[in-house]
Amino acid sequence: MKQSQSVLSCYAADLFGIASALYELGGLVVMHDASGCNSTYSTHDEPRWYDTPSMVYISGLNEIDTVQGNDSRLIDHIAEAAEETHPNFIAVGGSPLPNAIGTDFRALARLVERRTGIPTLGFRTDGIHSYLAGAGEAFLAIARRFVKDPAARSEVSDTGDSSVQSFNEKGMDDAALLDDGGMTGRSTMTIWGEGKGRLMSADFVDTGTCKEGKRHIKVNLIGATPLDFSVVGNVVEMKKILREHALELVSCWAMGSSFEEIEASARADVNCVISSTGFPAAKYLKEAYRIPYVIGIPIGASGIRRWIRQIEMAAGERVEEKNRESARTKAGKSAGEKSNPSLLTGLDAWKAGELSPDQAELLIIGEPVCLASMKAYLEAEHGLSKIRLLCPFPDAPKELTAQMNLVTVEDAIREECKKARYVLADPIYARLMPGEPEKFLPLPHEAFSGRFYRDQIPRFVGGGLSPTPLERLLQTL
Amino acid sequence: MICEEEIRPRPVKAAAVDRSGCETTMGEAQFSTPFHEGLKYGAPARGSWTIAHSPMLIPECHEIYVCCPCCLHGVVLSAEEIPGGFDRFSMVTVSNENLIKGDLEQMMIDGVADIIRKLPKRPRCVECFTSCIQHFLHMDIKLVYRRLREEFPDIDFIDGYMIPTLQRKFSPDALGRRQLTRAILKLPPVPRSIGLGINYYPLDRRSELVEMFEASGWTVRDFAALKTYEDYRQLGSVEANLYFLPNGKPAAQELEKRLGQEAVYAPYSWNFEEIRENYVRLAQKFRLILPDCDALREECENALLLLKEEIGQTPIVLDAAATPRVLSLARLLVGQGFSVRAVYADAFLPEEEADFNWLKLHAPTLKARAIEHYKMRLLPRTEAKEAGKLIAIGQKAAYFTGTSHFVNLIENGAEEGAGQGRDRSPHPTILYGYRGILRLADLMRAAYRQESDVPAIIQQKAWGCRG
Repeated sequence: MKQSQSVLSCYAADLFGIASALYELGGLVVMHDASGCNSTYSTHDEPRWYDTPSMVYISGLNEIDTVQGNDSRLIDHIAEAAEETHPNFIAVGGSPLPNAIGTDFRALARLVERRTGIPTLGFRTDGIHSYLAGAGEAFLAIARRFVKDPAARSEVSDTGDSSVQSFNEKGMDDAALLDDGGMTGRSTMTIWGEGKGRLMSADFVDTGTCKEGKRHIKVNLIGATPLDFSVVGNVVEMKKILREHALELVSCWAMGSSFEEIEASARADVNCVISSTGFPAAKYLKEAYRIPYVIGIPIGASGIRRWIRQIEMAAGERVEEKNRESARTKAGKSAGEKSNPSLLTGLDAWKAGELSPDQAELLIIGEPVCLASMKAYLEAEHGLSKIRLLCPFPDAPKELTAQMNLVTVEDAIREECKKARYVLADPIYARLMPGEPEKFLPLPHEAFSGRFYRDQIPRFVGGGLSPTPLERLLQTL
Repeated sequence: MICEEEIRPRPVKAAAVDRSGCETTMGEAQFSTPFHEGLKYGAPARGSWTIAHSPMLIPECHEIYVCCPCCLHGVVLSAEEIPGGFDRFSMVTVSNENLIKGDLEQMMIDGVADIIRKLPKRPRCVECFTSCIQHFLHMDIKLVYRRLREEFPDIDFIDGYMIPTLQRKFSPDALGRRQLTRAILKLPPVPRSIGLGINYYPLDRRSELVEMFEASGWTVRDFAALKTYEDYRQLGSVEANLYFLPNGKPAAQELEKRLGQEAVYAPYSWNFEEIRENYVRLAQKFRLILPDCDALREECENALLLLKEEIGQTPIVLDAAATPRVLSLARLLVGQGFSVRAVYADAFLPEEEADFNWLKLHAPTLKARAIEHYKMRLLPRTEAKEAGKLIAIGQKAAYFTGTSHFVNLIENGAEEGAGQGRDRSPHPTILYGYRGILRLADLMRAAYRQESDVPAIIQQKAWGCRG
């Protein structure tokens, strides 16, 4: 039975990804639900909740409004709060019941915006997709709606429509070019390889159609949420690495940057996608502003070197300034939309993947960008080989999972764990291997186990994985 | 190691709001809902139990949630945080495919059966939880349980519901408590046995209520103190059930209707006269020996007098999660001369109207403050600092005022003694009657004298719950 989970948890849902991504940006974020979603998010997924007064609320959806399809109470309540608090924007998404009755959040956003005069984002969430899709759509919406064209700073988006439903499937075809495994020579993604002609990992650099540029590189970090990085200093460490290499941080989406800094993101020469959640926005910014992107997390000294080199390479090929300033054409914007199919509309949630019969020395389970970067680090600095990556997210961007097994079914994950000599994953996965604690290496993931193992989450950016689990691993290999 | 720069990022500024709409005075407040309903905020005070925790009261019961991921993520991690909780918890994930295909019944039957077969030990009881989406789409729940009972005749199935959107008849908490009784079956009545339920904490055995029954030869079976599944089954043999709060009423009525066990209300009260009336009523009904209420009252008044001499006019705030009868407690404290500053509650129970009217008359400047109102997220939590010292009774009151002097009281339950520590496995018991007031006085004195690590304590989920 694919959908039964005897011992595993499930990942944070799309709504929580949206709230987490937008948490620090001064918006009014509303989950259209009766009660539980807000408590779940704020208890387990949001370490900033106690002291950082972000406006994330629940609507208090009730039965009669659901039956009658009555959105007016929701709109009234949002307008009431917005008029008092003057948020930078309003964002609203729904839980399973609004999804079941087909609540049109795009229309709802228009109504709220018309009434309040405040930019409003509507998300077609369903409480079923993962936080990757939710946070990804949130960052994408921010990119589409609020990032200012450096060439036309006064320009204001006029659509009021940040819904994700307008994307078509053509973009998915483009994205599939990743599978060719090498430089495509087109404005599509290339996989970066290094040494001995092998692919190091799924670390990517997409230079688009960029041309040679000059130094003083400005970058955005895109895809930072506590769901992937917790609050143990990983994001701060990334910023420090940039500073130490004389790179200028324009903005960090979205931990530690103001809304205004995010708005100015198009000043950057390169976008650094540090989790899957940043990927849709980076793709859009490439299409709209010709900003190339690099995908990966700098783990270990080798990871830092690689990351910086890729940023410099991407920046070096960036589009000439005058081209970029005029880049936000209708064609560019349109292309940005088309190349970003919604992650929230996929239906195939249960995947057993095409499992390899081979034994793996090490199986790593988690978020795709982290997986790929961790693999590169372990191969480069610890000489590990036969590392297999398992992505448990059915809605992860397909471009990022080409080098890994996509497996969401508990029994199938258990089988993969059995085949591996060691497993590096969130501690909850250890329950798939009762009686084999020696083969499990914990790497807590806040989006999966919430706050429960937060004090064990390592600062893996920069210096690499904390020595304790690694030492164990290396001693035995 | 937590990074301060990440957990408390600088760019986030709270919008400046005033207190209009989320604060009023008792003199001006309307009964029973003093505040306008709007967007809701969830304060990070987590001690109250949720639907993921209450089934843990039934020994050897395994919980299986059949819901969408947004619901599952919360309940599974809530169970995870309870010592031993995760071993009693599994889930079946509803996805969009099921909604489109309309195979909700089959997926639940298959999923639950699959989990039961894989469990290392066969559970005596399984409480399955379905969510709003299945009921909104009219899943045939009777069919599901019929099939499951046919396949697993040795297991008692309980139909649990996590349906916060669909609460026409019962609140989620009241419904949750009621369903816990569903596997109690009729047994031959055992004379002089009484059930207490359904509370999340056991009643303090030292309370005069327990004394009254036991002194008269009664066996007291407390739902919150069950040790084995047999203990749970034995609840089918009691003559009557006492319930203490309105949310326990549907459970008691269910047992009355199904098993013929009389439901008797013995409300939590902080009012000396009401406590006496309760005891007189119970003594007459069950032929019990009435305790010396005058002496007990005098003992309480002396204890409160001594307490007042020590804490003087230190402001006190209290919340409705600490005790269901929050206005009754406010009335007691005001009546004894304490400086009660504010009561946090989004609504008051119907049975509190007399206390409400008394406070309106005798403490018209006492503040009534909302808990869930959206502005409560934004108002500064500096009241304790400004007051110098402030005692909070309840986790939410402590959070909103920023005090470190607080009584960790949740639904009338508190740790034994004056414990305010961070122990993850405390043993709270219920404060009830006169001796409940005596214990409260001790707890308030301890709170006045000692500071607590409030953030560490109140963020723990389901205080006192065990798997």
